[in-house]
Amino acid sequence: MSSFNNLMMGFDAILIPSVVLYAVLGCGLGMITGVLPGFGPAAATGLLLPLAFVLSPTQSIVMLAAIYYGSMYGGTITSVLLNVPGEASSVATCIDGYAMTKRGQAGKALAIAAIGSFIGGALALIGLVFSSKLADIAISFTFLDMFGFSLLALTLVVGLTGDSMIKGLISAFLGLFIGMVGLDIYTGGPRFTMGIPELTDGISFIAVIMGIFGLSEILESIGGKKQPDFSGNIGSVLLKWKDFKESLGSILRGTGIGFFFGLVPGSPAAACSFTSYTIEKKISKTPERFGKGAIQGVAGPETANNALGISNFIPLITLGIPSSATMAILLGAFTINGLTPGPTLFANNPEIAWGLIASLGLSNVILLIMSLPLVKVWITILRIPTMTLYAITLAFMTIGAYVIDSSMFTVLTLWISGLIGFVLRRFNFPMAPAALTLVLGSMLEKSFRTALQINYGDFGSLFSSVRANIAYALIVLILGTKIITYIRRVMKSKAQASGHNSQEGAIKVNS
Amino acid sequence: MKLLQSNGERILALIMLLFSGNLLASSIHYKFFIDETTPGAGLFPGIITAVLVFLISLWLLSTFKKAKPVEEKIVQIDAESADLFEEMQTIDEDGKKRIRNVLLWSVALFIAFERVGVILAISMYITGLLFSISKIKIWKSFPIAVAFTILISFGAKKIGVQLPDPFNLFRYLGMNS
Repeated sequence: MSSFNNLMMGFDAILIPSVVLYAVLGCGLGMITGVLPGFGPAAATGLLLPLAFVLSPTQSIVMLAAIYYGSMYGGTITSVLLNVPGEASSVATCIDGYAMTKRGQAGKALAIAAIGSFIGGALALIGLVFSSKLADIAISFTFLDMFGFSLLALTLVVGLTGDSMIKGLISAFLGLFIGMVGLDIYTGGPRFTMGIPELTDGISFIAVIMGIFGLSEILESIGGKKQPDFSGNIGSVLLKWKDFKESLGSILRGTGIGFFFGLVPGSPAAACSFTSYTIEKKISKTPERFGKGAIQGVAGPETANNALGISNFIPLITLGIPSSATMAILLGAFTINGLTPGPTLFANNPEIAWGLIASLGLSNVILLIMSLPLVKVWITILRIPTMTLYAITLAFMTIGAYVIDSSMFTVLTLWISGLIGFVLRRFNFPMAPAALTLVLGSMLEKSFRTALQINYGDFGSLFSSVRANIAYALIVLILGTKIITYIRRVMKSKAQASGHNSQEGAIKVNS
Repeated sequence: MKLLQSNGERILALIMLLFSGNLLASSIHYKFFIDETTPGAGLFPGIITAVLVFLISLWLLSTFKKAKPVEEKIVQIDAESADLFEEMQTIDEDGKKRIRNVLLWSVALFIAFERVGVILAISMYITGLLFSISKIKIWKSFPIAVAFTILISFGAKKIGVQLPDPFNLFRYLGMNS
């Protein structure tokens, strides 16, 4: 069957009233959650993940994809109107988006972001449809290959480590450890359960994700000295032809940049949107307008962000490797529903795999329809005092955690993870690596132990596969580059410091 | 302030080092190999926790260093945005009080949730939070809380979620399917 026919099959699976309703609901909920200051797609998807428990696999996957989509646009609204990015990738949008708001052109900024996101999303979706062929190659992967590629994905986490590589790696290994609590997959014996019966089934992945992303973010915001507010006017949301014409090039370039970045697991989304922003500024005939409300400064990064959001699905659905924290959460949603993302998904559950791809197209359209006409509704939500929104969100989270397995222990897990996440955030630990390794950990251990067991405990056998060796070579390359960059940075800062000292000395001598 | 931060980092690093050391010991206890050829339950956790111990030790050591490398910012954000981020992330005395209130109300919710049921517990929780952190008067916050709780419970019931209701309040509200 051709990719086009498969896509049509996916649309057949999702274009039924109940699924479309959940997609609309997902987009709306995603936008509402994304509008919460500081809440990015990861926090929003994590917060609403318990819904995956109560819906059918197709409904929950479609709804979560829609939530992801909606929350990305919700983040754009806060970036443009409040100058508060939901996540690092939205910082680029803040620069010119907020400048446009200050000039009374917020409506225009939101409109170009929505239209750019739609075009970028649609084009990236075409790429996603054709890249599904990758799954045919990946289906022949052995345990050794899977180990190599899981390890590669883990290494790519380095890209999500933020300012401190050590803290990022600690976060990643803590995530790996949490994933190991519970019954051992081979011996069936309890591991790290500390005699607590509830832990024999493992620590609830969803509760931990909700805690480290959602709850810790809320606690940080509640404690914050200043709460953002919006009281201005947004102006017209109708875009003039001239504005669209000026932005079209940025939108197309943004699509290419976003799609490319999304193919590489672990590539930081912030780097993607800033690359788009920098390119737009560089090739602009009027670079001086950037930072003061240039429409291209919103169109490029927003489109790149959305295209990245779509192409991020490629490593997830073809290899089963999540490329960002949000993808890790969606991977969790798959496993909750008894599905294994990766090459076998297309063979065993084609209606789900293609339904997911089709649902991204559907969400793209729903979002365009909902974003601009309902912009007044989103602004009304922004005008509700943030503390009130947080109080309601906390209650919603508690009910959500309880729903997972009707146990107060899961609620306790949520709060403990939230408090740990809060403390770690205060010390600048990035949380994305932990989310990623939390879901990758079991895959890594399973492939590692199976590969060893098949080869009678011979560690040398881990290097007997060509594909795994390619993965190891890439790992060495990535780590090598990262270490060299770090050493250069240290040397540069030392040189700067000594230069500064000698300058001070010279001033003293002169004086 | 910086001194407090680095002292805090050292304490946290020490706690985490002890914790991960303990995990490494547990991994050894679970055995690395069951027999000569079969990997045991402790092998993979052993590797993970050993790396964790190493990384935390590196972090601990780095807290004693005086000079820190200059962080490369991808982009220079304007001063107004930088101030806003700074203020949003700074937790002052009022902020600490708000967090304390949230934790206290959450403990109360934890105790009450299954005992009095979702409607009473969540209504109480939201009322308490709105009153203590959002400074909304009780006579205003209570109806908001009850309305939200009923709405959420109704939605949950509709999609088949079971929530605790020891006093059968769902029946009185006509929500029993």
